[in-house]
Amino acid sequence: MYAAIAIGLSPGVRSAPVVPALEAEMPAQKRHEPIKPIPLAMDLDARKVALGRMLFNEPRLSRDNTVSCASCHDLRKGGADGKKHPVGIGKSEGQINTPSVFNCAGNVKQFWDGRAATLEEQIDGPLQAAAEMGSTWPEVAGKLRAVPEYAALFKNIYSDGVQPRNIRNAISEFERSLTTPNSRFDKFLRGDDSALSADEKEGYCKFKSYGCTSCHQGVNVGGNMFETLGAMADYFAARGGVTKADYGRFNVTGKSEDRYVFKVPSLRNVALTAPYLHDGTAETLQKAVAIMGRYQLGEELPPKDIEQIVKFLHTLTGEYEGHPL
Amino acid sequence: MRLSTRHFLIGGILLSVLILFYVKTNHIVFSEHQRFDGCLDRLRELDASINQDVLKARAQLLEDYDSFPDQINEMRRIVGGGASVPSFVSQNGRREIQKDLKGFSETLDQKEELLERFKSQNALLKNSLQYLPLAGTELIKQMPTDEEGRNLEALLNELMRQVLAYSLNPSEDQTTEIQLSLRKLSEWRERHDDVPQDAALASLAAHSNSIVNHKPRVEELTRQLITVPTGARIETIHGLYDSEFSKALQAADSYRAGLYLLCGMLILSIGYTIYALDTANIRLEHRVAERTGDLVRKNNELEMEIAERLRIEVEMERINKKLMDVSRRAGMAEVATSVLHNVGNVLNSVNVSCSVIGETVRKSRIRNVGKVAALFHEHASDMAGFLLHDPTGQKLPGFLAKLSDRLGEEQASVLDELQSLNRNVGHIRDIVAMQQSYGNVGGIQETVPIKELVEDALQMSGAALTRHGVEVVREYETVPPVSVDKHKVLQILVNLIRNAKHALADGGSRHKRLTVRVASDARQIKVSVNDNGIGISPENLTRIFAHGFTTKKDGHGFGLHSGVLAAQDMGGRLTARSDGLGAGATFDLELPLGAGRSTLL
Repeated sequence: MYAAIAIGLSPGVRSAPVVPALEAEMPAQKRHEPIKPIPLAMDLDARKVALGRMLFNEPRLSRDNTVSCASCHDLRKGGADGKKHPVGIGKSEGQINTPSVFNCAGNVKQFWDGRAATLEEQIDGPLQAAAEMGSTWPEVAGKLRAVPEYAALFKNIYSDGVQPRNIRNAISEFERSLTTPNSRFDKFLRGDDSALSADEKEGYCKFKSYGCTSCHQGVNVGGNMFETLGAMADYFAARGGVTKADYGRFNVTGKSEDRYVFKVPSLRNVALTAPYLHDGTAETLQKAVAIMGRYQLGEELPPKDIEQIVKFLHTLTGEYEGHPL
Repeated sequence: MRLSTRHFLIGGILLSVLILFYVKTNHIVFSEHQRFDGCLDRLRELDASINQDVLKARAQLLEDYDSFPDQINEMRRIVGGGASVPSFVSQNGRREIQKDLKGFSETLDQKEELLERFKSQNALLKNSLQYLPLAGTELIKQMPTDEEGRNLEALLNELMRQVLAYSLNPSEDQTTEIQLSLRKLSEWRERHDDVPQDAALASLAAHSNSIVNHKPRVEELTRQLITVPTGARIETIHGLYDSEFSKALQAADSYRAGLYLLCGMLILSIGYTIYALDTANIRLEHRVAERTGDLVRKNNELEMEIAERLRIEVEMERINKKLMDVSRRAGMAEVATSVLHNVGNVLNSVNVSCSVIGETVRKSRIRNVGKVAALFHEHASDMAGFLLHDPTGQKLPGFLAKLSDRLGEEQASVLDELQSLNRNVGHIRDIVAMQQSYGNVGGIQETVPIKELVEDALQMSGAALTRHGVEVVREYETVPPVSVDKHKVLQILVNLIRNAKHALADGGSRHKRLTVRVASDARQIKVSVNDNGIGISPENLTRIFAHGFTTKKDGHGFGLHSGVLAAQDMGGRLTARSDGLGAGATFDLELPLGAGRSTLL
């Protein structure tokens, strides 16, 4: 009887494949590459994206109306600020390098230490951080409510108008739209062998064979796991001047094995987001790759290999809204 | 059967119970069940998939870790919002399930944390595993071909073989072997601390150590991940939910049974109601029939009563008619009495006239003529002488002259009396003729001048009125002729005049006056008979028209009564007025000017 009812009523339980079939758009020989191309299409609410874009560029989100999300996550600068440490309200300096906002929705968690499980949660961080925007939600909601344009836009989308959770939702929806598909490497993955030069291909092979893809894999070429910085050699001992921010995930879990553990950053558009590492100490990609080789692999990489790998990394720069970044 | 509050109450309760049962029967929302069941299935599927991916990753068969956050996040979404416990689950069950979902969520957090560690550890392991052969091969390529070089090559090959074997199937023995090889490598490096490959060798050793260190961690994390009770928790929730669902189904079945029972009862009660209504209807029909019978009987009785009444009325009419008849006869007798009285009076005169004539004739001097004739016969011979000479004879002429005068006088006297007699007889004839004209006929409408009738009535009573010294005053207005039963009007008027005469006689007034007034207005003619006699006391004023009422010693008490009846019969009325005893009385006879009612009598 239940079967009959189940068929009859069929409320449409989604029986999607457990793993999204990204492979479907890839040629057979590229399906087992550790890196996957960024999907070309997204299913998002255009109105929320538009509102989110306004809010993303809205300095009213900061206490003194000087800093917006875009102040640090400049979409023209690969979604980051190009600085070692961000500068917030009152010229205060942050403790950790600004990660790119591009493709952030594909990250397993947000922030270097992964303390935010979702984009919505993430917004609380910079908005309330004294050194970043230094605001409070009631303050921000109040300021936005006073702007008739916002009041109307919110009312159009959300029945309860300007509310902190609606602000978060709109910004997050906008952030979900910030993907950079169609990089040369993605084209290569989708079967265009001419998209990469021989050097770049060689770089990719080195990238794989040095074991970089152990961590930097998936659509975002990273971003989907945590790893200890200094797996094979003590990075912080060598660098010195350890700050609280250097404790990484330990600050979230409080477990000793999480000390110096960071989210593996996405390498998408990495050529645009210097300086590198959580502490912003690597000004160039070459330096960053060398540091990775030294501390994560325990190896001084040959400069030729570094150059090739860097060339490969440059092919990860994609397009935003149809325009190359 | 009237609908009372009780009926509505019972009906309302039954309906409520019925609706309640129906709602309860349908309280299982199958779409909710499908969704929840689907969510649990999906969770189980995702959990199994994660485990599968963990095993794949452990075997380094998974190229990337994207699937882990995707799957964990989907599970989070399902637990956080998608898996809403269906509404039909009991409060306790819901609490239990929600508790278990929360528990599952915590277990999922655990699993995610393990997964993150697994990924990190596995990445390092993978990194080393990937790099070790590469680095080893590179080193071997660069080895000098001397004995030490071959030793190192053999050592490196041995180490790589051991480490890779270990990575496939780790065991304590292999760890010891690897440690041994690593010690040998370390010794080699101590012997040749000047070779350019020293750093690479150190790195190789580090990666080998890394594999030896990380592999057991990965294995342990894999074990923990596979055994983390997410699946068990899902099964618990599923079991809980299944029992809740079957309970809900059972409850729905019970309610359905109740619903059917109630419906059955309702059908029965409707049937009973129909039966009861039918019965009541039949009873009602019986009662209607009974009542109808009663009514028919009553109607019959009524009809009989009406017939009886009619009969009585007819009888009454007959009696009335008889009374009227009697009255009329009495009236006639009255008239006859006055007629006889009048006739008697006249007869007196006749008698006197006869006596006078008889006396005159008896005492007549006619015998003297015979004496003269005998003288003449005696002296027949000497007639002349006798006349001339005889003294007697000589006186004869004078005597004859005187006799002639006397006889002439006698004749005149008799003639006079005869004339009187003749007149009186004529008078009697008139009286009789008048009596006859009123006595025999009735009920005929005639248009008559009312004054004539009044005059006739007065004339009929004229002698009595004269005898009692009553002055009759006539006040006649000019009135139009009226169509009446002449006899009835006359009878009423005679009666009224006679009553007035009696009232005047009893009143003892010095100046007895009877006033007869005839007047009219647009609608009627009114004849008023007024006397200044004894009058009528107020208490009698209403009774005088009653049948059998009289104040006269020899009265029969229906004079006025029949008068009233006669007046009514003609469409008019007869009324009396009096200011009391000694104040006289007035009787008014009103007759309608229009055609009088046709009489029954």
